[in-house]
Amino acid sequence: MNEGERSQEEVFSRRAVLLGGTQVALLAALLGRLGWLQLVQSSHYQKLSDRNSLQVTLLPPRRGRIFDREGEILAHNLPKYNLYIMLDRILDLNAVLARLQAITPLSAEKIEEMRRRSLTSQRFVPFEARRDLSWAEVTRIEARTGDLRGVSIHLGEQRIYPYRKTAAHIVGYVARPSAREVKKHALYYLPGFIVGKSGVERRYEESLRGLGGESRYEVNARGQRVAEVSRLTPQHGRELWLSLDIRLQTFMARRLATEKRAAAVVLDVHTGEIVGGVSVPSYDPNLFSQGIDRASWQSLSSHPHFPLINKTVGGAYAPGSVFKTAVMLAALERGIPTTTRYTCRGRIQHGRRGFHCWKRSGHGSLAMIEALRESCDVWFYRVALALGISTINKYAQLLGYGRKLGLDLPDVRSGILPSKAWKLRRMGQPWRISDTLLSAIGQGYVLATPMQMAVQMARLANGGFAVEPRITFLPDSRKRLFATGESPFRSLGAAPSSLSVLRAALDEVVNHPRGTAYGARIHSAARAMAGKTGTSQVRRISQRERQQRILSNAELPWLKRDHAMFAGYAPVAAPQWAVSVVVEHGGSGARAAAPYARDFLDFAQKTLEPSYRKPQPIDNLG
Amino acid sequence: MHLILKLQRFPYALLAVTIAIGSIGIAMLYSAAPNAWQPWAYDHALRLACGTALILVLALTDIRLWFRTAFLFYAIALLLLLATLYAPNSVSAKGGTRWLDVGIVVQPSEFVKIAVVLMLARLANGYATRGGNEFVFLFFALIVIAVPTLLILQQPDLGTALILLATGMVALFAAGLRLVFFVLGAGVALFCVPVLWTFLKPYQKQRVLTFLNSESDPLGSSYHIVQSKIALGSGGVFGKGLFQGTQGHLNFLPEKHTDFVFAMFAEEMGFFGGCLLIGLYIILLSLCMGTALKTKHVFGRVLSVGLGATLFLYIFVNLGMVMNLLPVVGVPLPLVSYGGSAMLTATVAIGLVANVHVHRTEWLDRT
Repeated sequence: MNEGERSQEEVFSRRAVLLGGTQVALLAALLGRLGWLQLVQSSHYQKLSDRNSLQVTLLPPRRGRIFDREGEILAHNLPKYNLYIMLDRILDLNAVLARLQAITPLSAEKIEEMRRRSLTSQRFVPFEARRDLSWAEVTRIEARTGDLRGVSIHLGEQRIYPYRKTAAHIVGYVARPSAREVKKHALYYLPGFIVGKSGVERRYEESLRGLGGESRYEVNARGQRVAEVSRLTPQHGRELWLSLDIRLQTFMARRLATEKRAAAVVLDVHTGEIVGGVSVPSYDPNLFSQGIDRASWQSLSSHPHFPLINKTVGGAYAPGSVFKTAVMLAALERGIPTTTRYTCRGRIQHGRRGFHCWKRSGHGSLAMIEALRESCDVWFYRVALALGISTINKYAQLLGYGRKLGLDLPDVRSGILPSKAWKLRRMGQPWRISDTLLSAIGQGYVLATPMQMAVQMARLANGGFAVEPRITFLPDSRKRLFATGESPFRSLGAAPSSLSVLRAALDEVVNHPRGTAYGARIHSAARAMAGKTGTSQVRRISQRERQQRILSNAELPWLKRDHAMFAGYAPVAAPQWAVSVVVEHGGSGARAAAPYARDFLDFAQKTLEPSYRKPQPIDNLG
Repeated sequence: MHLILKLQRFPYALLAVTIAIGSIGIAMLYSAAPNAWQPWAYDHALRLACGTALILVLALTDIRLWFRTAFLFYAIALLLLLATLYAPNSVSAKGGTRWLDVGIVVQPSEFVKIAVVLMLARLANGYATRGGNEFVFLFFALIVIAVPTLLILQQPDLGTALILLATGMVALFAAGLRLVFFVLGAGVALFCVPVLWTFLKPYQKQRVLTFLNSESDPLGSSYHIVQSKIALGSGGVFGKGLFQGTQGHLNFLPEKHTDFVFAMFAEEMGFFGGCLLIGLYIILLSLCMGTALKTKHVFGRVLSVGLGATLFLYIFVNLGMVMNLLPVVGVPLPLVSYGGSAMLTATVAIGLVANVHVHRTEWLDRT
């Protein structure tokens, strides 16, 4: 080899090593990059890979059914095929809609809504384009899933209320969760998922709803399912048994159907279990489960008689003379003798103001029981002056007035039991004696719900226990207390003698010929009813009208007429059921409310089997 | 040279590495099917077997045959390229006319690379042994490189053209051309980039732009890259298991049997597998370079360095693309990607290197 060749070979060797080194270095750099992706960022890409290939579908639980106390179905579910459109996955909405229209008609309103939503962030919410597809439509859409991307069919369930209007306020209704509610629960994002909006549907939402399951499955790049990876089966909602008796409920609803606004409750005096609860007017909850249309919603929400409000717990009325029951309990407990007589001359004067009795001619001299029986206002003005407002309120509170009852229904109102502090707080005015007088006859600021009036009667009738109303059965664990003690509810602390006098008075109200509700008595002695009437004014009667002539209810426009009410219990001898009836602007309680109460109690006694019956002393049976 | 001697001198390591890499290819194409011999794995296995035989045959032929016929091959390759562009039996797809239907569909630009390297090696050998003028050598060498490069740009196939250009440069570098020419060339190239940009087709511009910002449009042009990175990244250290990659099997990964086969491999075998395959490639390239260093004649040196560079550029551009370091250009991964022309080119290149290895001490001076 000569010099030139050697140097040439050296140059080549150098350059070859340089080239080889460069190649190895570049490949090593690729290895570094690979390590960065596969070692450092691995978990990030693992997630992306799973998001690519794994999809999770929530499996909705079946909503629990609702039964009445005898096992009649009040709410159940019907499977329905509904059509949903995922607007965010559609590129050409018009093309998809055109293809869809060829299979199933879509309303112009829905199409308009879709166009609007596809432009806003609402496009991420599956849109319900059609409900209740026929089987033929389902198969034709399924067959064309290829060119109907973003269109899917969900097997949904429609809530069915077979008794329609009859128990609407107690059972309630379901609907799609509102925009605000949707955030509360993952299941609520499911297309067509429904949530309880009122009644026990709302109160027992958690238990009725159950727990969602989920299916994780693998999809390929075209979005087709390849295999299910894992499955968590949903836990279906629990069945809900109500204490309601649909026979009584139906009877009550039919009887009250002719009234414009009314409310009535029947409950078990020992357990507090509500067996009937009607609010008039009612509505058909099935309208909501089908997705209520705007017109129906408008007519319900702006209806002059408020069909959406459950007046049994959400309506507050001046209880009128029904409240005298509480005043009388206060008098008895404060040791005022039953023989105390006051003379009624139709009015008493207090300061510059006169306070009238409903009987303008006056009752004359009355003892306590007679005063309640004939509902003498003057007698109660007098006794109220002797007792003072705080004493009256104390006993009214014991009977359930002025506070929210522990009740398993939503939207329960507490009513108002006005006191000195309350008036100063609310009105900024000091309490006056005239306020005490108005409270004594259940007028003025006093407000109570029909439920409170019924509970008052239940607490007196069950021997003085603070029973709380409920729409579900009292648990057996609590019923067991009936055997050991007197009642699972705390005692009111009222003397038995007070209670027996009061009950004798309530008995006379109905069953004494001079009683205000004598015309509405139950003729069978075994089922006889006791109670108290009430006629509460909704307007102020002016001095001039008194001087000329007080207009009768029939002469007044409907909205100015008195509310008619009655609260009572039956049977007199061994009370089992308490009742209260309010007929708004119905006029006299004795004539407009008491007959309903009589019918309801009579029906309950003939038809219902109570979940607890107090054992009768042997000597009473003979 | 006696056959026994040739067999003794044969680079068995090179053949073993080739078969090892090719076998990984068979496994991946089986997985991509998914998990079936049809339509890819069976063909690939068959081609690998033929390729192995081809390497043996090429290695045992006399090196002088290639030395003498280099010009002929070059001419044939150019004719094929011209035919691809103008003959009626050319096949167009994916925005280019790169294939020629001659009973089977072939991609002449693949063979051109080998022909150019052969031609340059021949020229360099003449220049070195006869001590010709450096400028004359450079002039002819540039023509040898430029003609096919321009023809390929006509197809248009920017990636292959650039690879061919780079291969030529490496061959010239190995041939001992003075460094000053490379510095000058680099300067000219830099000057030309903005000019060339205006000649690029819109889809080529799009690819370069996509490369620069890959994750901006996951469903658009960079879908390939995003899915490829997901496949790689989700593989982790040991991968999802052979035949169990989700990106590949569920079709998220596009071109998984051709250009993106490495993404699928790394998804299933992880970083461990990636290191193994890249390690095998490094061994393959080192063997080529080792052959060059042991060779006494310039023809063999330039040939093995040039062919090694061709293989390297394929590997580097393909892996760089899959890992989102380089733009998406349609370059197969040698011996692993599915494709007859690619397999033929790779095995012919390896076969020629083996031939050089067998004939490393031969004395070549005249045609």
